[in-house]
This record gives sequence, structure tokens and C-alpha cells, in this order.
Amino acid sequence: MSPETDLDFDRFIVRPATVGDIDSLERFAIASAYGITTLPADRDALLERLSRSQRSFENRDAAAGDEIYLFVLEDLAQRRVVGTSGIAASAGLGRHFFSYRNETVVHSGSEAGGHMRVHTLNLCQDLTGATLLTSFYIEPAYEGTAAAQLLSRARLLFIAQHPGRFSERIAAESPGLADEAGHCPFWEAVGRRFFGLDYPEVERLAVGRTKAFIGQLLPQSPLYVALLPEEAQWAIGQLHPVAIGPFEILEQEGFDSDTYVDIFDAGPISDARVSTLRTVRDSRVARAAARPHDRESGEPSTPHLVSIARQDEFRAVIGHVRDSDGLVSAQVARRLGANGHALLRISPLISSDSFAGGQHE
Amino acid sequence: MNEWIVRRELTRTGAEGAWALTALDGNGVRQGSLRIRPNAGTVQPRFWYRCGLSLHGATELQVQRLAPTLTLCSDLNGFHEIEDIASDDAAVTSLLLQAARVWLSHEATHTRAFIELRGPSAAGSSTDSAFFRAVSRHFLPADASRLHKELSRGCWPAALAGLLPRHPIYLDLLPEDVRKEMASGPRSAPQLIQALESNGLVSGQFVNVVDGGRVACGTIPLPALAEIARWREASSNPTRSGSDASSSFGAGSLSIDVADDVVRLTL
Repeated sequence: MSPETDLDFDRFIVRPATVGDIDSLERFAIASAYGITTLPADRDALLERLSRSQRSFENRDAAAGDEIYLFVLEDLAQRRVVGTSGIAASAGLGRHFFSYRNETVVHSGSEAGGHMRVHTLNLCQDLTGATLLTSFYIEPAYEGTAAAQLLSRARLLFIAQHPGRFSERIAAESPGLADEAGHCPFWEAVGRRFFGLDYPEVERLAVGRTKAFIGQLLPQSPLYVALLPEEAQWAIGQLHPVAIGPFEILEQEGFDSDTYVDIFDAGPISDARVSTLRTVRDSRVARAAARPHDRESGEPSTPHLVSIARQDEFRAVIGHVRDSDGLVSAQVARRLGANGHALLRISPLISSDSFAGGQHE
Repeated sequence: MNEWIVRRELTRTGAEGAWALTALDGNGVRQGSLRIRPNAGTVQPRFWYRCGLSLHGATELQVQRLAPTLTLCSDLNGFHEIEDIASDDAAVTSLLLQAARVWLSHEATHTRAFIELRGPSAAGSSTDSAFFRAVSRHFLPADASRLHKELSRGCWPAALAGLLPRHPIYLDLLPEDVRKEMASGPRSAPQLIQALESNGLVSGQFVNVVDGGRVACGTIPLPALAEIARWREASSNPTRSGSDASSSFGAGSLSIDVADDVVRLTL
């Protein structure tokens, strides 16, 4: 099986994850690279997250801000789950979300003393409270298809449909450089000096804790990057190879990835204002056509991300929207389980030369 | 009885004045010298790194770590700087420091002093050290040889102040060769170190901002009575070998006579 072409996107659908998906999620967690802390390789922890996610989808009350939403990507032809992604409504709420902020300061000597540009990393909590895109994983066999676009962007459609549940500021962590044994050059040069733990060990510690310990153990004053070993310097802002595809999707959406890096592996943290993201900005409410689109007759239509607007029955697919009247194909509506009167939210699918799958946190 | 003379010559180098002290034995033969720059750094402020420890603890994990740091400071501004010690004999060095103390007692408000010791791996230049390569060169001007020359003359360019790092440097984040270099201590002769320590100047609190060399500092005390007794005992046993400070001194009491720019010490 290998859904090689974009035209195969009819077979994919994104829906909320349920506890019934535990086996799939456990499989994904084991297969994930180091740095994906929101997919812990612990069945109980995953079950807890799935339960919590279900409650978040079902909750019609005003959002408390501690909700998480997990989604899965189904290959309908294969009848199985092949990927997952998630949203944390508010990073660090009631807790702490630490990151390093990249800064360049100029040290200036008076008169003929010249100046030096000095790169520093500053421990901060700027992104505390931001909505976080999390837990992205897609099976390698689906790399190179529109499935990865759907899995990543469907979340943004959900956010666009329910803005009151999320922050206006949004971020996404991408795994940094680490090998299969968990050796991480930035961690070895910095974090280990203060934690005295291996990188995988501290990842396990970070799950389910307040993370206040991070701010207590790491230096509060800026780190001078030039003083770090070269290997660690080079790792700052670098992506783990599995994260390249999802990262490109974020870049296409309009995320900025130059300001913040992860405190453990120095992987880039992308951030943006929700309203400026392409999928959100260009999304609109639409209705389904009464009859199927006839593409073969040459009616112009454009591939879109299409989602059903209800919170607890969220579904998202890629489908065609007729250019002439902006109506969603009836076939697409049926795939979503939507009747003819249902409100749908759509956003143009951003074309890309390669739909590379992969992982981000 | 041994009579020693220490002559003082007033010089002026850089922005601040200095004293050149020369020790002559009873025959008038020059045995050693040093220079003192009283109240260094009061005209043109200077900087050092203070060696400290930062406690990082997480009660949630029951983890505590003491992390060694270097923090830019100007703590030694106003101290008297000792430099250019030319003496192979710890006793002569001690004698010069005592003579210096005499003048400082009379003419300055205190006898706090410091001396910058040679960095541990500086073969000929501060810029050869691992500390310079790993730390200093990232903040100081590219023309390191000119910098070293100016600093050697005691000329601290005011421009340097704004270039130096204001936040603590964590030693644990530096390359291992730098940490080893700093832990190995100064390359200065043991006799010099001994003379300095016996005169209240101890290293470990501060290092040089260029090559990470240690700075010995403290208050030069009057020699303790026990010290005088030791000198007396050594003098009464001329066959006793050793390199302690008392070996060159004679018996009797230590008397000091100050006249003009000459201190006479009779032992």
C-alpha cells in the first residue's frame, strides 16, 4: 500500500481520537523520535491523554484553558489509523512553559573600542498560555502525500471554527537534533550540566510535572552561545530529520521559527498569531452542493481542506470546492457525514511540490 | 644583624602613578624589585571575573547543584596593584612587600593589594591560553596582540568596559581544556606564591579577563610575631636548608626606619 499521489486524498479523513485508538497511539509513541514529549511511550499516560481529549471535544461549556484535543488520520481504504496530531489549548497554564529566546546583543566599547555582536539564549516563559500544536506523527509510508497536509492543517480549521477555546497566540515545537540512542549535542553541552540526567530521562520527567523544576535548575541569566562547544552551537535551531516535512507545513502557514528554541534539544519553536495563519485567514463557512460536482465535465474546482463545523463531531477531509459558486461537492459532504444543510468550514489547500510527512511535537 | 635597604622611586605610567621598589642588601647589591600602583583603577576602572558558585535546586526532584561561575566585577578597583616582581627569593619578595606596606600605611588609607599572576598556559602571551580562545576572544577586539601589549603597560582602554560580558559565565559550559587549565593554578614560581601568601595575598577569588589567570589579593599585614621568631630561628641555624621566607634574614628584631624614599630594615 502506498498512496502516492495527491488524487488519493479521497481516502483520508481526520477525526477526534478516542480511547479505542490507544493501540495506534501507542505504536506511534514507540516509533516517535526523541523530543516528542506529548506522545509518551506509556500506555497509561496515553489513555489518560485520550480520555482527557474526549472530554475536551464533548465539553460545551466555556473552555477552562487546560483542554487538549487529539486527532487521528484514518486511511479509509486501509481501514486503519496512520497518523495523529494534537492541540493543547494553553501551554503551561497553571504550569510553566519554558523556552530559550534567541537574542543578539551588541557590546559596544566607547570611541575606538568597536563593537561585538553577541548571540545569547535567554530562558523565558513568553509562550506560556499560547495554544500549542502537538503530537504530530504520520507513518513514513504516507510521506509525500497530501495526508500530512490534512493531518496538520485540520487542527487549524478546528481552531478557526472555535476561536474562543484557544489563544490568539499559537506555537509548535519541532524536535531538535538527537540520535536514536537519545544523544543530543545541545543537551550534553547545557542541560546535562544542570540536571545531571540523560536526555531521555529528563523527557520522561517532564511529562505530567509542573516543570517549575526547569526554571529552578537552568540558569536564569543569558547563556553566551559562542562559549558553547561547536557541536552544541550548530544544533541550535536545527531540526531532527523526521521533523522537516511537518516543519515545512508550518512555514507555509506563516509561522516564524527564528525566535525561540527548545530548552532541552534546542529544536526550533515556531510561533505566530492565529489570525495570520494562512489556513485560518483564508477559511470561510460554506455549504454543500445539492448534487455531486462533475469534474469530468470540466467544471473548475479547487482542492480545499473541508471540515464539519460541529465541535464534538469534527471531521476533516480534502475535497473539491466549485469555483463558480464556492459550494462543496456533495460527495465530500457525504464523506464528512454531513447532511445538505450542514455548515462546513473550508480553506484552500496550499499546493506544495512535495507533501513530506514526518513529526513534530 | 642584617641590614636591608628598600629604595622607592616614583614613576608614572599609564593613567595612574606607580612606585618602583628596589631591595639592596647590606653591601648595597641589588637583590630584587617590584612595582606598586597605589589605588589602581580609581582613574580608569578595571575589570576582573569573580569566581563564585550559583546554587540551582529543584525541590520537586530533590536535586541541588552548585555551579561555578565567573561574574564580571570591579571589586579590586582601589586596591594597590603589585606587578613586575623581579626576585627569585621568597624572602626578598617578602621584604619588598613589607617595605611597600610601610609606605602604604603612611601614605594610603589601607594596605589592600592584588597581583595578577600569569595564566596557566600562557607560553608568552595571554592570547595563547585556552581561556582566551574559548572565552575572551568572543568579547574582546580582534587585535589581540595590541590588546595584550596595552594591558601589559597597565593601560586599560576604556573601550573594553562595554565589550565584556555582563552576565555570569558558567564554567561547566566551557570546554574541558579550559576548566582543566583554570583548575591547575598559576604558573608562577612556587616561591613567589609562598611569599605572596605569607604576606596575605591569596588567589582563588578573581581571575584575569584576558587569559583567566588567577589574581592574588588581600591585606598586607604586619609580620606576625611568630613569623619574626621563625626568621630568628632560621638565622641561628645557618646550615638549615629550605626556601622559606626566613632563610635570608638574620636574627634579632625587625626594625623599620623610614626616611625620604628609603626603608631600612634591620633583622
